[in-house]
Amino acid sequence: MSVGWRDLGANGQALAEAVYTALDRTAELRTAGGDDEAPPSSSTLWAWVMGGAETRDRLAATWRRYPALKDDVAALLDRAAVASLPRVAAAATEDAVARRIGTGAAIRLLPSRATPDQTYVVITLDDPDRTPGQLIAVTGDDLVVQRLDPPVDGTIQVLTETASDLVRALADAETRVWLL
Amino acid sequence: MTTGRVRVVVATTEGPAEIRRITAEDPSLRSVICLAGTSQALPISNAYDAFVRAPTGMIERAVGHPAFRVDVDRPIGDGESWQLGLYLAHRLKAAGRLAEDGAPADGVLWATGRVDHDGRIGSVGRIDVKLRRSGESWRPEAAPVLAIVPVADREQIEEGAAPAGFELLPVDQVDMVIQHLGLGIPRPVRAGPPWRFVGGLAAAGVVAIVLVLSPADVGIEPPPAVEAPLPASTRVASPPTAAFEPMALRLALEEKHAQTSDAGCAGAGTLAAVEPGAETVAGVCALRWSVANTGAVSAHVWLYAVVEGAFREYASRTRSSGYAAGRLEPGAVASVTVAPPSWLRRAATVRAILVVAAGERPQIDQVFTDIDLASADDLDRKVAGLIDLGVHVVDRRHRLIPSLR
Repeated sequence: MSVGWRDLGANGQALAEAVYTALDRTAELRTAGGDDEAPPSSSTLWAWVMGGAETRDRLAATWRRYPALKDDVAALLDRAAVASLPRVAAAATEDAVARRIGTGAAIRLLPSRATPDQTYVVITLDDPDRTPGQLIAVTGDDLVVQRLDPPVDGTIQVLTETASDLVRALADAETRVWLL
Repeated sequence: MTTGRVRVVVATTEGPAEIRRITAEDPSLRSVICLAGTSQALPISNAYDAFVRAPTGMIERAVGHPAFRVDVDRPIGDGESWQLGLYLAHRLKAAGRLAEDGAPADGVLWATGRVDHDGRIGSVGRIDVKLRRSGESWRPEAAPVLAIVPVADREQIEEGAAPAGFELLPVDQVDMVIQHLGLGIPRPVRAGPPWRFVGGLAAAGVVAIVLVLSPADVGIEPPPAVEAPLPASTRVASPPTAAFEPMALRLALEEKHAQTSDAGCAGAGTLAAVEPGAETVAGVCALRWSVANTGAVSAHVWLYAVVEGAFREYASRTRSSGYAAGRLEPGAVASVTVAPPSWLRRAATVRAILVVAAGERPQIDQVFTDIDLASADDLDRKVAGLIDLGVHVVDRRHRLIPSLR
């Protein structure tokens, strides 16, 4: 049985924070002490997610070694995200995904009529007052990050190459997406 | 420059930016300006989108489509001086006269100016710099280059500032340029026929009315020609021979308000002409979409209107829609009336699709055959298919707020 954060109450939340901090520090100490078998701490994972291309390569390598850490990153992103969009149900799609609907936002992929090898990524926010600054997609062991312009009337539009990592990730039913 | 293909360049202080191509995109997208076929959207794209989309934008009102991609060969910076060049390029594109993708041009239009909602051209400044940079960095393929500048900025252009081969045309209204290009100015239309509400819900399927109307049938007087004044220094081309002009088919909208909240749309009610897409007051019981032929030659029109909304899902045996198709003579008006179900209390969106062609087109008839069974996404696809056919398509939505009692 899982318990939601809000269900914990003040004391429960304080206890959970203390346990999290202790586990995180333990992981950091093991890594710093030369323990090659120690997985990275949550703080380190988060830093890698928010870092540049190099840290994302380290993240991908770590996920290959510790697949369970992908769920840890997903949980962190869930907590921080303005909107999250889950995997697309397999039965709902036969080919590439053209539309994703999640909590807080929906995403559509529309090929450009002017230049078919370019695609519009259209993000529609449920709450037009929210202003996510980046899109993060986890596809396989890779992390794709796209900087976002401010929304206009609750919509963010990105024009990019159809062969780009972003479009490939969003068209993959297995990809999970967050807007931060 | 009243015939033939025209290349349009937007004057900037860094040199002229040529409009390489204009493409109608999916209506749900925002318009963008991209650099030379790349996916790099210029920072002015948001301002361009606002300039396109009705009710505030000029382009959708002029050409009937709300989303475009424009490719230019050089970045266009901040400011609003690009508006005139983009507006003229869209009008030329709609008339099939924009020289795109390096195709040979019979003339070159060099433009700078702001354009307001009423088509007035406003001052932009630094025109001397733009002219000088054009002279330094650009060799136009055709001469003369017609340089359109705001009348308000004429004084700041020094003698000899324009490069050789430039012919300056100071203007204060876009219609002056439109006439100069031989594109024709839409003429004013008298109010349509007296309101006759054929209310309620149509039975499943489309109610089709084939119209072949003459001015006498609908009480429309042949509209008077409009002659816009041109500067004395301008060479005025002789009026072109009357030809099919899709822009002369004008879509208009009227809202009907019930006389009392209990009367519904069956009573006399009142009518008000509104701008499609504009916010209006509650208490509307029906909408009438009309298309008027303000041109000099007949045209073939297809006009479809439907009330969109979730209620269609559970009221699928009824349809709030109207359809009219047929030949429309000069001065004639065709219209369709749609009303949401009487029990609907929430705002609903009414969508109108107008297609205009020079003559009969069986392919277009086919598109409308099953349109009343189409979902919103299906309608988007149908509109995209119609645009691909190369005909003039107007796709408008209007929010209808019924009586709130």
